[in-house]
Amino acid sequence: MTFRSPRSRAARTVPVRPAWTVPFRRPAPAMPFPGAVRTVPFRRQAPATPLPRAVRRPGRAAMFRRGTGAVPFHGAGPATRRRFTPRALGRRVFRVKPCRRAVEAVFRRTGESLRGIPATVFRRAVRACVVLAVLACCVVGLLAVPASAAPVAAHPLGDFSVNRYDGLVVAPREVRVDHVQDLAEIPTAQVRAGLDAAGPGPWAARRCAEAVRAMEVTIDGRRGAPRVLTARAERRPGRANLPTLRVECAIAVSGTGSSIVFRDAGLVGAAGWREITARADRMTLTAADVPAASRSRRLSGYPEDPLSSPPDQRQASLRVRAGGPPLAADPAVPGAGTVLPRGADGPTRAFVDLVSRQDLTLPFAVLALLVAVALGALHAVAPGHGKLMMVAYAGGGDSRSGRVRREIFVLGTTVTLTHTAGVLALGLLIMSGTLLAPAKVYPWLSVASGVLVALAGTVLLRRAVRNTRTTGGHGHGHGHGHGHGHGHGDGHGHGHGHGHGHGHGYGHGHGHGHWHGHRHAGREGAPRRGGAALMGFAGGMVPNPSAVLVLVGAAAIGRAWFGVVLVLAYGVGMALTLTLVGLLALGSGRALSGWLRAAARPGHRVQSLAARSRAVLPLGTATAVALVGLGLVLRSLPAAIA
Amino acid sequence: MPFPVRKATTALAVVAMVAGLTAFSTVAFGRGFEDPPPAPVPAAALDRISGADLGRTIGRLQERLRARPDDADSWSTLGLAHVEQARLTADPSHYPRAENALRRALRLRPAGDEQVRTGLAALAAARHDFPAALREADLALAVNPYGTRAHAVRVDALVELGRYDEAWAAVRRADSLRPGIPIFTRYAHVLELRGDPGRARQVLERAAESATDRTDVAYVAAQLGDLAWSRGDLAAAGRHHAAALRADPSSLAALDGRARVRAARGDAAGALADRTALAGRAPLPGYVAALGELHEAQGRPDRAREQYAVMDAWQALARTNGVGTDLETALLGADHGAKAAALQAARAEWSRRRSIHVADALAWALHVNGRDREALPYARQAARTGFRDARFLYHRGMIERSLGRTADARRSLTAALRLNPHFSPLDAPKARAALKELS
Repeated sequence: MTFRSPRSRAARTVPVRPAWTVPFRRPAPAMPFPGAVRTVPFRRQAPATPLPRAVRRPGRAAMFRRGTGAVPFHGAGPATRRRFTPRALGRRVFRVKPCRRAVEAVFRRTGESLRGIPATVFRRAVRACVVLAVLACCVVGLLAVPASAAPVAAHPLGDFSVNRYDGLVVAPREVRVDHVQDLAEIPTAQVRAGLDAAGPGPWAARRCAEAVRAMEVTIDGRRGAPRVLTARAERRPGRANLPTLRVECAIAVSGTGSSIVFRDAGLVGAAGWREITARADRMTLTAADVPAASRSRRLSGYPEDPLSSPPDQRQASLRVRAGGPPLAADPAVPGAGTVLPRGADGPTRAFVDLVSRQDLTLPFAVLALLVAVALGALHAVAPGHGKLMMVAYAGGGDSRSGRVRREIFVLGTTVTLTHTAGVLALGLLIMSGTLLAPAKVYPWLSVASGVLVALAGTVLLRRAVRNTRTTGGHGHGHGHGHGHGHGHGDGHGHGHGHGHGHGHGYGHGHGHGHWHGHRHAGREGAPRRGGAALMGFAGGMVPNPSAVLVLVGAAAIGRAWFGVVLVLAYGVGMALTLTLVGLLALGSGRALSGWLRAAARPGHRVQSLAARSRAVLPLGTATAVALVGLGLVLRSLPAAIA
Repeated sequence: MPFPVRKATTALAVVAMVAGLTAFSTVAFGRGFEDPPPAPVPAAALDRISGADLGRTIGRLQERLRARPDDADSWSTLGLAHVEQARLTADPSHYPRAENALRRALRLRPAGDEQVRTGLAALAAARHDFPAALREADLALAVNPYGTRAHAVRVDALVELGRYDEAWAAVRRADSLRPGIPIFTRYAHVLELRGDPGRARQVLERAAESATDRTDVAYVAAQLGDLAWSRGDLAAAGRHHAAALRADPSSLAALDGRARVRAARGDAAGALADRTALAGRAPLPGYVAALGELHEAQGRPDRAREQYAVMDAWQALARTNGVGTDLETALLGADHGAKAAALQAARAEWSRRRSIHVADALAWALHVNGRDREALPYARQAARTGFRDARFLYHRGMIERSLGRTADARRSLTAALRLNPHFSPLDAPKARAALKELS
């Protein structure tokens, strides 16, 4: 049961790709490759079309534009214009041409029947709806998966089985036995009269005393004297309104030695699940002929596998040596909540079962990895994993999707890495036993995470405020991509304006944005990417107890390395969900903005309103993120201090 | 062009990742799938497998099927092994496993073969679906007329369906085609039911001579013990049951027999110990009721009631499972409580099959419900093959007494007590009392 350090090879197989290798995927002006950008004089980017878009669609605010001498570059090139025609937008949302054509065909028909309303409005509205529907379907589908998981049968071994479990724990001065009996309906009926007459307490004491008499614990050849510490009996409802019984006895045998033989001779010949497990507490098991984890989770659920008979273990031989980590809470016990703040959910328990299966085959390993990814994705759907942040980021971010996508990717990667690292660290601490109370660490991690989120929110807010100050108020459809000198883009001495790299402009000027994005990627992009990384860090900072459970469970059965791989896959799954949410938010946000703009076409007032709302949107989302972070801090602080 | 280059890089990275992962898994988990799968277990070997080996055989089959899930033969052998295990341990949880395995085999080979058919027949017989057992056994024998197991199941089904003449023909044919211990024990059983216990004993003794496997030895010895017991030969019964327990200490039938013999000999403590152990190991209705009767006979009615309450639990479970109470439970219910339900169950059983045991149960259920006039024909039916059993005779005598046929009642009760004076710790004293009252 020693913890083996993960093979580095395992870690290297993660699909972690540095952010800078993410390709821009847009029809950018002909540009051989990023490095070449610097050598190309920017005059080459001068608009090829003599007619600037501003002429076609005059914006009042164009006159109030300030602080940039970049007017000449506002004229959008043909490529840019194409990108922002409704058609181009549609192409972005529906990448498959036939699909787009079908939708457009439908709209053509609808447009005929509903005269007076521009077809583009419909088109965009429906696009937004489709994106939202896809998002909703994803969420519902992910939520439905655990609901459809099959429950575990209570007594697969028939109505007259008496199931017994002995969980051995070898401690420095004693051997502890966690003895559990699960009586099905008929055996319960057999003992019912005695139980009713004596009461559960005394009856359990008698039953445990009986169990102890049938036990034989030999430590280094000497026969130990087991004694009952506590005894408990609990009635549980069974089939046909008949009760079943669960008896739990805590038993201890004093003594120490290097060789321990345990034998449970109780109820020989009776049908039932008979399981023995062995673990060590501040000792080390050098050899054991029984597993460390219980297949039935201490007789709380019996896995049904047509290819494995119920275990019939009646004895165990162990070899131990002194020294070792203290025993962590039983990973197989559903109530391990004493160690971890939140109990494991159903899928995770099933997953730990999966990992503790005796044989690892290739298909099984692949399946386990896929399941881990799915579980991670599922887990990220649960509240509190930075989805709002992601939406805020994507929705409030600029529409230059290459950048946003890259940032979303950075965020996803950071979440994965942070989460994995956190789980590994916590798992290591738990397993090495240096951490006395892992429950204490959790609130502090939550506080730290909250602080980071609040910080990220503040960064977003600051940027949004600046954007509003510089570009707000004039919601024209173009040009504010340039207006704001963010301070970081400044030092590079181009005469044509600064900081395009992060402009929120959805108008034209994208060609430039690109330009500058590339040019200043090193300096300019860093703060933004840093922001994304910061948020990813915050999102992945609190290790999910389920993942810790998977790791500890895998380590308990001597497969720590596999646990590490699984935890990594888990993080990837989380990142996938978050990235998906971000991309969907990006898509729907863009569809929405397109729709707003189209709706705004007839009159300037609406247009300006639309633009204003767009300018305010980042403010709102940034505030929300900051508030969420603050809320996290406030919620976790009392627990951390207590 | 930048994008193709990047795409190519991306694709390359993905491919490298997948390849790396695969290679990694191969290295890491290699053991799991490079081992050759274990060799198949021939079904013929199953005929000679004892209880202890059965668990190991099942383990080997499971191991092989994990490696080769499409091995129909192993699936059917596994199914058969589970049926066998259910028979030996009286643990019904093996039936769903057996069925699962046999269905898998059938799915892999939809036409079915001898082994799958035999397995399905054995499973149906174990679940008391005797028409299905007969059908499947016939199908199996159509493929292979020399299948010992199929022959044995066929004989069992015919016996339980009350078709004794066909059973007699079937068991003689099986004996000529493929003699063996399973056939010998059936042969003896049919002979006994035909009212020829002497030849039944001879056949069983011959079977005992040829038995080498310890579960076989125990099985045949327990049968011999039961036969001796039904003739009231306590000494021989005790000897045979002791031998059976020596051969296989886990034999439930032998333990049951020893408990009966001990009770008959007046060893109250020994009988109680055996009965308690039996009810603890396999709380089947028959064993539980026997423990209750022993408690009652030894003057502990409260303890007896506890055991009878367990019977109620069995009946509640049977209702939940959607199956009627079986014949044995019905008969015990007639003695210990649920009289109306017992009659209902017995009538239902009689409509399905007309064996002498069902006739006796129906007669007794009618009697306890006060309908002796209807009961008498069934009690006579129970004696139609010439089979003589103390309990049958006791039932008949009590019915005749209720009808006021004193002479017949005296004759029946005397015959019952002469045949086996200790046939039941509760009923034998009652029979004696009734006889005293009659004379």
